[in-house]
Amino acid sequence: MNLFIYLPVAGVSVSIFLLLGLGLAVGFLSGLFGVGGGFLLTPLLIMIGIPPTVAAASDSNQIVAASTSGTVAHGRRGNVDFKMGFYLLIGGVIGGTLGVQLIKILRATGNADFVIKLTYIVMLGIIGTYMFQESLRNLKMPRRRIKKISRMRVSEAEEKKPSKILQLYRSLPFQTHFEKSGVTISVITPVFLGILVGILAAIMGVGGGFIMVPVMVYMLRMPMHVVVGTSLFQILVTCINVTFMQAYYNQTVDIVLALILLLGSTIGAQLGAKVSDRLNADQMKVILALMVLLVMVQMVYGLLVHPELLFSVGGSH
Amino acid sequence: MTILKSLIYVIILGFIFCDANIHTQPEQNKIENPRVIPEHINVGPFFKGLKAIVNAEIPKCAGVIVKLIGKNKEMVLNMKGKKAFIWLNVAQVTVTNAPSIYLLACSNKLDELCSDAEQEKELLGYNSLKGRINYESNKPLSGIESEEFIKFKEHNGNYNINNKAVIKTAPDGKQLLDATLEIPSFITAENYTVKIYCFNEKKLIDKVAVNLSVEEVGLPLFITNLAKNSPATYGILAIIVAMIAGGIIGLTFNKKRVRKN
Repeated sequence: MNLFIYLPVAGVSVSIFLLLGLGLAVGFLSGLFGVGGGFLLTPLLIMIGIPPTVAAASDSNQIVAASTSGTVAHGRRGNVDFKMGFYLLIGGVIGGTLGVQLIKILRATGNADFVIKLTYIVMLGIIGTYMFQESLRNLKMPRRRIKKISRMRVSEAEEKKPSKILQLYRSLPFQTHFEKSGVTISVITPVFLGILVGILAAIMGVGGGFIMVPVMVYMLRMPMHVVVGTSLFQILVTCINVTFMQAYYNQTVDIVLALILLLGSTIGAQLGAKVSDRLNADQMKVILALMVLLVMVQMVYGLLVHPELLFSVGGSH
Repeated sequence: MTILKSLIYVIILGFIFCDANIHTQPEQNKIENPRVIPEHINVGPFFKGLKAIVNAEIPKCAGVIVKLIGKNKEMVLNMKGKKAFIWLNVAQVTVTNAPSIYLLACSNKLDELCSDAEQEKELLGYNSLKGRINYESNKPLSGIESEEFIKFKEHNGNYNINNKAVIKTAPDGKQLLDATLEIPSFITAENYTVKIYCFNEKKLIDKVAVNLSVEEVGLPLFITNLAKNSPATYGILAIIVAMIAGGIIGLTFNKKRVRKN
């Protein structure tokens, strides 16, 4: 038996089980990797017939639930660095505002679509390839050797001349110790990286979780489990803002759609968080890297093959 | 006098006979008792679209067409094109004078039923629609917009032409129409007109219109009204509901975990 539900704002009727299944799958990934899942769920919702503007807005609303659930779960285990998340958020808000202005300029010149698609492919390609290579290398190596090498690298780095990036990190003012993450850096670093991610997120029209996670791992050198919790906290705040703005200005948030999705996604997020405890960081990184690369390949394919329909609903990128 | 009286009677009888003929003759070419089942659609929480049945007593004719058409709605669409070797959105096209919904049920092929002029006049078939829809863009248009727009609307289920109009003969010899229109779940709540056309030798014999009303009720109506009339309240409500649901599930899972430990 298939039970259909009418979504009043979207104006379409969809199978409840299909929506629950989508929510569960995306929530699982959210809990596992600390990504919002927006870059996966929105295209899936469009594919099943939800109008794109409603899909994007309602997706933000359900991410509020999934990330609340995830933040609670990770927060109770002490895996959320609220201090770091706060500085990243400040940068994210500034970057997001700048990114929106940049998109306006690009639209006026008629190059917005090209820049958006190119940014997506380049970003996904770089992040996915780098994560995949590094994690695979670590997985192949015995654990003792990894520890030995990393110890050697640290001591070598300390003995020899530190890298230019490290020199720059250390020379910046407002050095602060982030206890949960176990790093001491200038507050300028997370704010600056937050700005960069915010600009990219605005251009790409996503929450930015899948860019923020690699940034925290590789550029801020935070431990993977704290990265997941902190990323979820940051996504929560971002999506609260987006949900309100979409509901207020565009009236595109479908609460019925969001409720069904969140029912699946919150449970999925908990399951994901449980599995993330059992997997080691490199195994998690390999899976995330493969997903990122898969999305990139799908995008490249979409750009090269003649589309079935030349028209699509406008208004969003 | 008797002759005169008889003459008057003959004239009166003649008039009565002629009048009866005047009334019965055209009725043979009229569509009678048209109705749509259901004539009122309530869009509730579990509405998933439906099949609307159109019935009528029809005169002897070659074929029938049943049409449901929605109000014209302006749409802004992105149009893809090839730049170098990649497919990108190359223009934004504003489409006007296009009906939001266009459903047609025919007993035969459209071209066999009516002439091009009749199709154009009564807006029957995609060719008649193509001529009326306007496209505007900031970039030069390529001329394939009409074809692509119909393809887009058909793909989304907004436009459909089927051959589910059947003419049956009742035991008493009457011709009966039985047509099916697939009403999609995304039909907008408004009043629609369903038109029935009867054709013979590619000429229109008769046409009638029946009303079909679509209305949102219950929870969908409440949510639509709240989202449109109080967007700030709706936005805050959506956030609170999401946070409570997420928080409860988060705590529930965490408690289970604590108990296990």
